[in-house]
Amino acid sequence: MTNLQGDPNGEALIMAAVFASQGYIVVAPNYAGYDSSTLPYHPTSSLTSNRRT
Amino acid sequence: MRDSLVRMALAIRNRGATRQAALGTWYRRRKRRDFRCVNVHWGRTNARSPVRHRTDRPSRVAHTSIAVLSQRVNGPDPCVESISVRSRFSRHFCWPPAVEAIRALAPSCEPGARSVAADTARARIHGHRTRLLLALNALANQQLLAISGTPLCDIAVYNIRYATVGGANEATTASGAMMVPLGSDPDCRGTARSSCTRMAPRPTARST
Repeated sequence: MTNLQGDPNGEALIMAAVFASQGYIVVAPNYAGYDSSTLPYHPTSSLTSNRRT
Repeated sequence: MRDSLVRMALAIRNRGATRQAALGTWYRRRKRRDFRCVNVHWGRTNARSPVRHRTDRPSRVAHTSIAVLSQRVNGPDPCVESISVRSRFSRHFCWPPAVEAIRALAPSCEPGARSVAADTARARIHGHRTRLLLALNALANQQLLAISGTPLCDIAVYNIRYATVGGANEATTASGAMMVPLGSDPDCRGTARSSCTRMAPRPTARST
């Protein structure tokens, strides 16, 4: 979902809202390194690039 | 769109009388029973405590706005009924210009009810909130509501921040969204006995 205020995430937001409107608690965590995370990189992409080199 | 936003910004200064009129309209519509409302609560957690979040009292979140979507129970198309604002300084107060703004942007429950206040308030609506409302309103076109069923609960949307670790096991933070159902329905309060069957697929009238 990354950013609640962004346009590209509308579809994910709607899907989550549908479940929430039916009584489900929805938790959608962002990856570390995305949105307002203080991590300057994303761990998965960094590990992948290290393996290639 | 941009021109209309400019017009609304200029018209905000003249919103006194139209606000009172829209307030009366909003309360009259709340008394009607042929609407099913979905409240979308937007909240932001306290930045000074990014890990612990209060989810049981959304009214304590500062500057939380509530967009109220309505759908005719027996009608095919959802429409916008009203939008209001909740803050920690007042429990619940109407925001009539926003009502007219959303009504102007999305299909209205009563066509022709558009007024001057529609242009007055649109400038105050944040873009992402408007887009969410429009997207929810478009659910009928996507036939998603036909699968999920009529919405039962209000939704409190929280932007959360939590502590986690990075690739080198260093401490860091990340963000996310949490939606908590609200409302008087047992499914929204966690007291329903068989809520797990709520999202079961429903047969549709269309034949493949």
